[in-house]
Amino acid sequence: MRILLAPSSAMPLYEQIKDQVRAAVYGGGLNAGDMLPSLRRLAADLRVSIMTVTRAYNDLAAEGLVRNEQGRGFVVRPVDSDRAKKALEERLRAALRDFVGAARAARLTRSEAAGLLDTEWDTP
Amino acid sequence: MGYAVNEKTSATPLALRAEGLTVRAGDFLLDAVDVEVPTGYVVGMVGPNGAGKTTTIKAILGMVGRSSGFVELFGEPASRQAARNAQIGVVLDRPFFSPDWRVASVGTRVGRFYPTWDADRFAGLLREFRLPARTSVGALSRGQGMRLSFAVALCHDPRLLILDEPTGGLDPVARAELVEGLREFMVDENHSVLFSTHITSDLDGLADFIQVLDGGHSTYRGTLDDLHAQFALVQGVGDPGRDALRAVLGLRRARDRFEGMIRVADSHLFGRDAELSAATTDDIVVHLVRAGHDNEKGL
Repeated sequence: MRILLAPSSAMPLYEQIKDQVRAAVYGGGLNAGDMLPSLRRLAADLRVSIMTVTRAYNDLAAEGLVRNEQGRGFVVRPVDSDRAKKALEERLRAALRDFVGAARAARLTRSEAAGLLDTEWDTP
Repeated sequence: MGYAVNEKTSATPLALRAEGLTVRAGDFLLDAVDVEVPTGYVVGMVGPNGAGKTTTIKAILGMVGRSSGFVELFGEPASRQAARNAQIGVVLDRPFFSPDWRVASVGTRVGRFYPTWDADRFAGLLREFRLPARTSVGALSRGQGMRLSFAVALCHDPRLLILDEPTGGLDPVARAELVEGLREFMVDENHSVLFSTHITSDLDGLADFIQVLDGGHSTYRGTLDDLHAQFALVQGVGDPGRDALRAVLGLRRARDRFEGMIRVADSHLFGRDAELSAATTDDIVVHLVRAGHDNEKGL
């Protein structure tokens, strides 16, 4: 799994980390039993403080997505399919909000925006 | 003000605990400063020049006499010369090697005092840090001297690094190298770092905890995350009212404008004309220090 951070984003860094781990777990990039990257290695690689990654991982554990195994690290738990579906829908809705916002800012009509969506949908 | 303790950090053993460090030096008084470095974390100590950062570090290392206070390292009372402890790597403002030693010879001269000295690693770091092996220590630039001290500090395999203004006077490339070196050091969960700086942006993305010193006092200790969650910048036009103005730290007014920093908890005191924005670490430290000075002046 690759995690990329946007330091200038309004979203806090630990939220960005959570988001990407969630996307990997629900999107199938990480499977049950897989290990998350070592917390301290990830902090060094992403150039964030250890506490930032600790906070993200602990939050993910509290959500039930991963569990902290003493001495081993954070392990991905089996995905609850209802929750995975909800999470994917929520991601899609967030992306749509961005899309609609950008379309409105560009003063597109609804059908023009839908046309863009169709084109994108058909692009392999 | 103590660390905002949560269960995680309160259970973490401390690499360093200093309590009530008090040092008198001429007119300067370091006044009962507490310092804690939890094992596995980075603590950044910031404050203006003359705040007492160097004195605090020297008091921890037993390099200046303290009139009261005590220091514990790894859970045990520190000896008077903690700086000689092989488990601590120290980088001070100036290299403490003789100016006429050649760079390459520093390893053999210093290494013999440490049972854990890694001569191969030292040779490797000299290359990595592009240090001229045959030049004498006295002829090194400020950045080279700091890198040499850093290499020496790393090569006896310490558990705790203590650095005083390690980035002061460094160019951006050297500064980035140093920060990368600290990050690599911190990949080991048994390692801890205490460093001082007057450049607060050095803390971002590196320090877990921040301690602010000003005028010989410790004015804030906590996690960097909590610091950011607690404060916001405020600015506006007109008179927001007495209670609101009193809540502003480091208040500055120009004609009908006001600006400063507030605790997020006080944001309800401000109307819709006041604009709140996120504060950088630098903003927060500047306003905390400014607020302290305003208090002293009775503003």
